[in-house]
Amino acid sequence: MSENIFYSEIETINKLYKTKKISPDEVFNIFSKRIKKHNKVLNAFIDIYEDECSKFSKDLGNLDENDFNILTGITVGLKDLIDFKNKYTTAGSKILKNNLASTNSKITQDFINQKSIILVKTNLVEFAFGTLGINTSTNTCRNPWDIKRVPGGSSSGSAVAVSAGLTTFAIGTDTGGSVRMPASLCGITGFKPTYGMVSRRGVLDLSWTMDHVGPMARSAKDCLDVMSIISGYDSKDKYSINLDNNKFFVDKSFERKKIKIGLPKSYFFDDIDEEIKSSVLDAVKKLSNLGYQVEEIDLPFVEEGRSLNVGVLIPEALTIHKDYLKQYSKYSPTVINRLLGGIGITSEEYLSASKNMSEFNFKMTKKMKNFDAIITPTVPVATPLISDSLSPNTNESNSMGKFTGIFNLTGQPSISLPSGFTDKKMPIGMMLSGKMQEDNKLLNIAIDWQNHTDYHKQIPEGFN
Amino acid sequence: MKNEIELKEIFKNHLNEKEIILEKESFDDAFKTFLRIREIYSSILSEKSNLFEPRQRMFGDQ
Repeated sequence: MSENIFYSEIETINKLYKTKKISPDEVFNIFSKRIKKHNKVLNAFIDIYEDECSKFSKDLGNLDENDFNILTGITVGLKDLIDFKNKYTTAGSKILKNNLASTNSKITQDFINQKSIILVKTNLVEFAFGTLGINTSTNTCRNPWDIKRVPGGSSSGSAVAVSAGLTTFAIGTDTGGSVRMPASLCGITGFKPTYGMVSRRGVLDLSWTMDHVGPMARSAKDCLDVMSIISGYDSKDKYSINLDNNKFFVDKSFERKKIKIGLPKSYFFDDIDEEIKSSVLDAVKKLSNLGYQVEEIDLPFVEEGRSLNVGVLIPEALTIHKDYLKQYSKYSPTVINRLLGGIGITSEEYLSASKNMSEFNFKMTKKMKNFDAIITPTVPVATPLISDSLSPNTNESNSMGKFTGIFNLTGQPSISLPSGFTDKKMPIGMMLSGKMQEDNKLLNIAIDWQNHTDYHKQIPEGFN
Repeated sequence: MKNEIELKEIFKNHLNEKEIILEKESFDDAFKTFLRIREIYSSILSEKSNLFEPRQRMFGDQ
């Protein structure tokens, strides 16, 4: 029964706990053994809290059935941008290697309140500023599907850990696609909620306009269960937004025929890898066969989106890094390259990008009026080799976020779901992006997709 | 947009102001990124913008 517990869904583990068929201590020990076995190669973690978690999981054995909340005793990995009191938050950098957190982030506190097992801090691209997952300061973590290939970034360790069955779920941050890109490359599910729906208090910023925090897990149902705990207004976070719609539940009244999915006519399917294109267009057919309304959507303005994402993000990142830049030699080459490439940006340029972003979002809102979601590939390019990705200006590095970044600009909810495999047996991801605040509807579409496919259940060779 | 030689001088000056000294390979890589970002802003500034009430994001139907 406990053989595959490391790939089980949250709800399944929760039921096993409640019926005393397995204990949190047993689950912790299974993950602990797997981490020891696999992490030397994968390098998914910056810190592992083994002794504390061992004691904590034993204590959870004393709980009664009714004491088990949905995330009680569930293992979680936090991207190392997220504060956990009295632990280091390094951002994967030499500059912050001694940065001890004095408080918990809001979401860390949510997990503590749930009695989740906060098992690890996950590796990442330095300061979350990169798309491929390369980090020469902490050493790049490796994609479990092919350890010679990149995991995607910047929440690379979070994606690797879930994909390899080293934690049940993890938390990532997403400024231009940093939850969804590694989810796509590592064959897992990654969800970026509506802007402001999950508190960023206690999470290091990269760009205050674009940053989001979101769950990464094997399934959309797991993402929904995590969202049910971490979403909601936080009056202590100046970027938190008091939204009307932040309830998360499996919608029993969900009707496919009432859901309209837009298939963009251009941009998202131009100049992309043929295997990715074919996989996502197959998914479109499957959704249509399941009874969803699929119609073309014309988004002629969307090409400008990636430039605007970068145009707003870079000056904000430079502002955040202005004091650290004095220590420029401590940055890894790809990150200092990105930051220095942005020096000299004028206020007129930043404000023009911000203003164009407003217009872009207005146009997107109008277009979304008649649609519930848009389907696209998550990334345009095949997963590159690590050895081909070390230079700061590779084509893959520059183009990887061209689809995901659009939805950081708009703030719409957006999810990457496994949709197939390449000939080289590397995962392919498709992306569904919904209307603002309709996160629950989007997750229900994703859950329905995964109820009819098994791409998300596939396991990389050697990790069973 | 200014030509590449002028832009290289501008980039060097920005680095000097911040007292940042790069080796040749790092300088060349960073300059490539600088050029790419200059192109991005050049395209953003050339976009025709309508009179528009500035709001960053739309929540709900408009």
